[in-house]
Amino acid sequence: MPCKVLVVDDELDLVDTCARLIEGLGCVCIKAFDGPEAIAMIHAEHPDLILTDFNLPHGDGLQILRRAHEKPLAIPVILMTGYHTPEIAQAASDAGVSAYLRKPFLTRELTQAVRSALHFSKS
Amino acid sequence: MASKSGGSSGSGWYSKPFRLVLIYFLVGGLWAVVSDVVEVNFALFPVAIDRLIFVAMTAVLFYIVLREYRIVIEQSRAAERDSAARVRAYFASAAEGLIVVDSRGLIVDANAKAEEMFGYRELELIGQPIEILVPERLREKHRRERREYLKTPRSRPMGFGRDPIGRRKDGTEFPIEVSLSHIGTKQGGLVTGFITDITERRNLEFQSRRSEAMAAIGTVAAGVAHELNNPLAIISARAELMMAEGAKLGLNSQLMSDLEVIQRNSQRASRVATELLTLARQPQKAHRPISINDLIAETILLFREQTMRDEIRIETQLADSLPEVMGDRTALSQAIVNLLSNAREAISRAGVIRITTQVSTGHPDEVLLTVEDTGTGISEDVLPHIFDLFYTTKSTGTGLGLWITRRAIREHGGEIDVTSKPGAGTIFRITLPALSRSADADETLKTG
Repeated sequence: MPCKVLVVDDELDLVDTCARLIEGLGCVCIKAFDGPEAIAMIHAEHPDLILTDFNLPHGDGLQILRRAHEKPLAIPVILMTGYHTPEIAQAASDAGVSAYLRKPFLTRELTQAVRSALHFSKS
Repeated sequence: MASKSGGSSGSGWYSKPFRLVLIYFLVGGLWAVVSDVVEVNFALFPVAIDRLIFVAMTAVLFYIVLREYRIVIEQSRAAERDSAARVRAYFASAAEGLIVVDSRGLIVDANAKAEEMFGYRELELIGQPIEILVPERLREKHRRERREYLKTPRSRPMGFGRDPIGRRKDGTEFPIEVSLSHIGTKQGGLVTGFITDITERRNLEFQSRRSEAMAAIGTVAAGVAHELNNPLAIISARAELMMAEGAKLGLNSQLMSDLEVIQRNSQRASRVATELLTLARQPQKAHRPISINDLIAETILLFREQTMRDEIRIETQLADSLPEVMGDRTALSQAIVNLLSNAREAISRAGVIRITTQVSTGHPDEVLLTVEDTGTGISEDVLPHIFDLFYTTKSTGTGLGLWITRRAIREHGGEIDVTSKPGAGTIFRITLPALSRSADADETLKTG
């Protein structure tokens, strides 16, 4: 499936790790390291899927999610967090995330989430 | 102040000016008339009249002066009585306990609030030594402090280096706050103590410190979770990626299992922070009957390998047919783990950790668990703080272990205390309420 995935996290190593996993699925990966950069990329690159951390410099994952869901974009978003609380999980679910991943996640959890998010957005 | 303010109004010699003046007038008049009668047999009557007028005039003047004097004196007497009554009323109705002690340390006066606070009847405290209100173990010290105070009396709060403790008539103790002042009187120096029962304040302080501590743990745990989980996510995912690559390249099985161990343990490490978060969130979990002996046996297994390496011997002396306790297995196990870790760290090279269980002597409804080590011991200045949150003397300590331990024990209705001798070792004693045999049977009925 020819697709473009935007990965957003302030940890370079984690972004690279996710990129390798996503490229393993045959997708193209673009990277951003903070909130504003991610939002600029959404508008410039029109990714098919966004994988973002919850805690980011200058913004958070939910802000990115709201921009990504704006019409006519409607890009699906997977949220990752190293600091899981029931409140964050609830906020993510209310905002309509495609998947919610707790770090450290298993690679198959990530690939599964990416696959199903892309599948639903195509159908 | 206990004496009655006595006397009816107008008891002084000046209180009946008219009678006094009348006496003066009669005596003066008699003199005016009789002094001439003796000489001239009533011949000089008009002279006697003059004298009488003089005596009458001075009597009137005398009367006016005396009456004024009486009014002034009586007003000042009344004011004095009023202020004494006011002081008396303040004293009786004060919200604080008030106790007056003389220089020998005997109670001269105590107000109703003080009597109520210490559980004594009216006037029962008068004449008693002040030490009656001090716990036995502090009495000698109090006597010394009192003598010291009398050398340089001044108004100041009282303290024995820490907060003073009051002793009620029934022997119970309670935290108090005392401020002292010294009054010099004709009968010698008196010391007044204003006493406040601060039990309630202490409880509130404890509650608020506790919730602050919980909030602090929550914040720390959140920070730890966030900081740890990012690198752990990278380690875990990279290890998995290597395993995938390795499978393609046909890497040998030893390397593959090493990678699997790395991956599994990075997942495990992330649970530490998660558990810390959980701890700050929900302290109370489901309680079940637990055998403390079994719990100790399990916990020791975790330690055996490490302690054998360190030449530390673990000895146990577990009572047969020890009653079970109702509790949260994880929390109690954590408490024992924390005590054993501390014991191990206290022993520098070789030593013994002794664990015993028994039914408390004199308390058949209590299980006593002791953990004793032959380690370095805890110095006197550190000992009172070891259960404080974030208090630690170890470079790698978190200051959480013993705090969590005590919290767990207290949540089970138990108590933990410690005695230590520097150079000889430390003993922790835990008491937990035992599950009564009948309750035990009920539980079996329910579950069976």
